[in-house]
Amino acid sequence: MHESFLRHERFRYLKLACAMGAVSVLAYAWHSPAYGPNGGTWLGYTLGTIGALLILWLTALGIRKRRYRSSVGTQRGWTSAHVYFGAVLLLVATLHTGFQFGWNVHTLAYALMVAVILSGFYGVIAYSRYPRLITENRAESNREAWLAEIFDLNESAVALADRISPEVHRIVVRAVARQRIGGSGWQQVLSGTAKEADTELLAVGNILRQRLSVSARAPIEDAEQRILFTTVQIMVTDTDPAIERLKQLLDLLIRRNELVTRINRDIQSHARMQAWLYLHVPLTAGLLAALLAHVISVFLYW
Amino acid sequence: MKIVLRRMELMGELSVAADEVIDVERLFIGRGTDQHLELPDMRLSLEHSEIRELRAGEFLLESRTLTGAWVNGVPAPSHRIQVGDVIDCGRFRIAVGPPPPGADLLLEVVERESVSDEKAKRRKHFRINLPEGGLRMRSPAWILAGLLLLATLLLPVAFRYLLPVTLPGLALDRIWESGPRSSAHSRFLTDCAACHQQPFRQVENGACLGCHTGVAGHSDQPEINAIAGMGDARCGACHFEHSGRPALRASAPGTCVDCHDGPEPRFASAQMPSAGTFHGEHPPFSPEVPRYMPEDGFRFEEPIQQAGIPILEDSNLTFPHDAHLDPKGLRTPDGTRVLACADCHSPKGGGAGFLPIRMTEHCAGCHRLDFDSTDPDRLLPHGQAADVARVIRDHYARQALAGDRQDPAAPEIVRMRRVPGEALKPEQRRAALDWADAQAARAIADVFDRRICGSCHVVERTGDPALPYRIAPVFLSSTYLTGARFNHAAHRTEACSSCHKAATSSESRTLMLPDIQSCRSCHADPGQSSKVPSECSDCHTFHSARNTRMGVVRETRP
Repeated sequence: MHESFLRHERFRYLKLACAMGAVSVLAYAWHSPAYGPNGGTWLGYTLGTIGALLILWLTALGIRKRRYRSSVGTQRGWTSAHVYFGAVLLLVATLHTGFQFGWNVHTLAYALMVAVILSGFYGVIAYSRYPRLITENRAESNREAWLAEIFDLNESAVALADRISPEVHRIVVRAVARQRIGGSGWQQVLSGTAKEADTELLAVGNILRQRLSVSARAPIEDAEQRILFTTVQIMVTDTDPAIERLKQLLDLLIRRNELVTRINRDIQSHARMQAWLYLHVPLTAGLLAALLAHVISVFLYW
Repeated sequence: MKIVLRRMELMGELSVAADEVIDVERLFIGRGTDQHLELPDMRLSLEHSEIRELRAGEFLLESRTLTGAWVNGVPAPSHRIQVGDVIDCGRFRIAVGPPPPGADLLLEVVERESVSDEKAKRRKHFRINLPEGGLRMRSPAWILAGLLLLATLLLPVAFRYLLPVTLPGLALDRIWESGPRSSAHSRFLTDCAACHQQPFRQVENGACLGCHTGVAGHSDQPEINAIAGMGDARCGACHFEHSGRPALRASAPGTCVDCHDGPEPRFASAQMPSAGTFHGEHPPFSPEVPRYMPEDGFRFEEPIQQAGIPILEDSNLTFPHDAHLDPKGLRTPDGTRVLACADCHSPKGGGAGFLPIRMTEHCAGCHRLDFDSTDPDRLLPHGQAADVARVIRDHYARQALAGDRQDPAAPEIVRMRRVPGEALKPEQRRAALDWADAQAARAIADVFDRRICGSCHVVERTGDPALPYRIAPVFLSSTYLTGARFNHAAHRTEACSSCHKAATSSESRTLMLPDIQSCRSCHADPGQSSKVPSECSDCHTFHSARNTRMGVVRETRP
């Protein structure tokens, strides 16, 4: 049975991390240095050393997690450790500061660390939420099959439109050219429905309606519903082959648009599941630089 | 018109041209099989455009579709063709070339990419994951890390240690400052290097003592100073800069008690009583009091306070506090006055101590220095005994010479009124001088020994007829607890009498210093909630040596 990385080995790393956090808090509470807690007392140095080693180890774990061929431990185990020790790092490092903050490299390193950990928390939520949504959306198919089908449907639609009228052909060709699947990172994360596809459907639907001399009576907002409504009407009456082709074209376009929506939703889920890494990783690099500057400057100006 | 259609086809690396000459009035271009130039791209119209000759050598391209033809990258419903024009039709590109001999127009038709190539390109055109969407992980990581390293480490190090120039008004190493500087340093110590002189070395005493010259050491005993961490104690071990506190004052109780709680085995030579806690284990006070020996002058003793045994000091002044603090008041030239402590004891500076008592300021208002009842406004100077004697002698000499003195016991020549131009005979002068000398000697004895000086001062006899009396030197201690500092201003909410029993003190030799029990009634060790938490440093300073300075371990002042 699938076991989440959060529950790995019955919360082994959660327990270890909690123990580490509890020891840190107790030591901090017991310790009362002459001039208030700060990073320069013996406990401050100890917590700082633990924190710095944790940061290096967690970074190494982050690299290890992506090195699938390694046989040291399991992928899930390392992820579990990464998450829980990352969370307890927030506590250890905060105690190391003694709650002294300022506009300096030391607080900069702390702020970067907090940003990395918070982005990591989002990652934990994303990893527990989006895989399920992706599986549901995929419904036993996959992105490559959808893309192939979309291309086929586009070709068929252009060919069919060509047989209807130059105007319809033009509409369909333009819509195909403007079709949006995915897009910039920002568009992928935000996604949303493609307006071009709706315009195309409405235009083709209007032509069909003109042919049938049917006016849209009810103001139905959603384009697809409106077209479906019209096609149901013509199911009964049509005998004209041109109208039959228009109906076929609409079916093709609706099916294609459904696939485009589905693939965009898939892209969005993947993007939302991974976008945080594009903060997490660069911020970690920044953190390592600031950490180095923090440690060196503290002893340079001892 | 004769048109050469040159179809260029890609055969691997090579481009192969196949010419077809068409002689028509109008050349039709489109996807339809009936077109002269058939371009099989599903996105094109069956009838895309046509070319016809306007005049000899002039050709017009006219679009037959709503979207129009694209010439040289712009849509054109109609366009006069010139050599060098490029017409885009879907996958195909038609270039107008210089016509070969015998032809009117050359159109080079190139299929820019095959159907399958275009499909693959379209698929690539879609950006379906974040890297394709323009998100990057490595380059931002390197850039961020590089910039931070540069700004927070490399540049500050370079400008601090490597480059011979400094940036005016811009100290890059300020980014390393771990906390605000103490208020004393924050104004003028803007250069980190003023204290942080050596890299990877803790701030050394030299950096502090450069400004703080003459800071007293901890002990005057060479054997104590020789112990590691005593004479060479690091300033930074007690005085923490950048700690967020406004002051650098050291107040770490553990630091003192480390040695002073049972100092016997390590510091036997110091011969110090143990001081572990203020409440439980702190020696009684041993005030430094002056003792007077007429032959040797003052020397100082430090008797230990013991309950019921008064400590005596020799100030060589007689001053009954109880008489002066009489609640019924004192008779003074200005009427009856009730004196308070503050009438004589004025706070000094910040109020930590008191200004010295001065005779002219505090006593002379009541204690007038007149000596001749017939001339009560004639006052003696205060201070020099020789001056006093001289003034008395001069006074009576003048009286004798001036005459007209209303004293029946005086010789006649002294009592006589003088006549202008009168000259005294030698025997008259002799009688007057004898009288003056006798009066002066009587007055000097009276002033020094009995009535004036002697009422406050200790008067010693010299045996010298010229100046038979001497005032014993006076020593008014301003501080008795030399190993501690007591701030009267910090205790101003307390009445004087709650510590000093002046109202019942009839003998000024008896020291009115409260004992440690009196302090303990309000003060206790830190952690005791019911009293004022008090650390060692509230009363004591580490820098308590009298003759040894910090940073000069072996050199002591004589």
